[in-house]
Amino acid sequence: MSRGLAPRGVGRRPRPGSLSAMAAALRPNPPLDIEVLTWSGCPSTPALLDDLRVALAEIGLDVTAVRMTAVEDDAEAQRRHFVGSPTVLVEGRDAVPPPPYEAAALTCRVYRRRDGSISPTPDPLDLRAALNGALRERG
Amino acid sequence: MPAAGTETPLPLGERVPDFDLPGTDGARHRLGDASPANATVVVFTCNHCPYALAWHDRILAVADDYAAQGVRFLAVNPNDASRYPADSFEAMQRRVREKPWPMPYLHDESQGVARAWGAAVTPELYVLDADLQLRYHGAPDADHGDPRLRAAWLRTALDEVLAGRPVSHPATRLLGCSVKWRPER
Repeated sequence: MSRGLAPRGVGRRPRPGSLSAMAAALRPNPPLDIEVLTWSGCPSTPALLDDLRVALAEIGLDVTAVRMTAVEDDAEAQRRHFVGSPTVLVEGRDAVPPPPYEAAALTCRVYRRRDGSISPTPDPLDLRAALNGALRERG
Repeated sequence: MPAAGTETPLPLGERVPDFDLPGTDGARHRLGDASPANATVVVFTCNHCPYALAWHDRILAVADDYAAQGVRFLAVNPNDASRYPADSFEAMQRRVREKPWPMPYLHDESQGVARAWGAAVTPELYVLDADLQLRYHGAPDADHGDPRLRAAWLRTALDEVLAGRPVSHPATRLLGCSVKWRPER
């Protein structure tokens, strides 16, 4: 099941010359394909979306560009090789690629942050790196 | 969707259900043990949950810090290992071998203890007084991502129980991974 996030600031046009207008001009066209896979048994999604919102704003993208996909059964988890909630796919690639031995499962995903700590959400710097890498590939 | 556990949490102030579970140390551990403790902390936890892992060192530090005051800790893994092999008894043994814990790590294979206690997530903490009456139920502290908090809610509850005072905040919001119930339930 896929759905977009609730839009924020819908209907507002950026003022010409404003920062948001300049950011809008820099937006990739077509926009980056960003998908977040979630499982309802895990409470980590709101924290991830907060981090993602900030990272997207930095590159002039709105969080409405994100597709939310719920993974709710083992068969779907296997099919998508879903290793835990939340998982962020940028242009179809995992923003923080898991080790190849990581098994698909309906579970909360374990991330290792850059300072070595364990976290239910990716390091924001890793999110930024994945988004910027995808933008660079666009040229 | 995972099957739900019992929706009824244990009532504060009442004696909790007893249990007798096997530990990774090869022994069985009974909550209502003959050797009395001034307080007991039962931690529902597991091997694979990022919240349980993030809070783990803080909980272990509290166990170390309060051992001399006669506080007993028991960690219980209630997850269905058939669907989550990271929580198998063998995986639990490996984990404790790699880095010893100052508490027994018990396997609730039937999930009967988690059901009887109404455990919903990992980690989930229960602080009991010397009479095994429930005095605190909740999380270790306010933020799994901030080790500086040092499991402050748990420490405060223990301090108050050991002093014979009512616990000022006897229930706090749980945050963690859902207990992985067997699908047939």
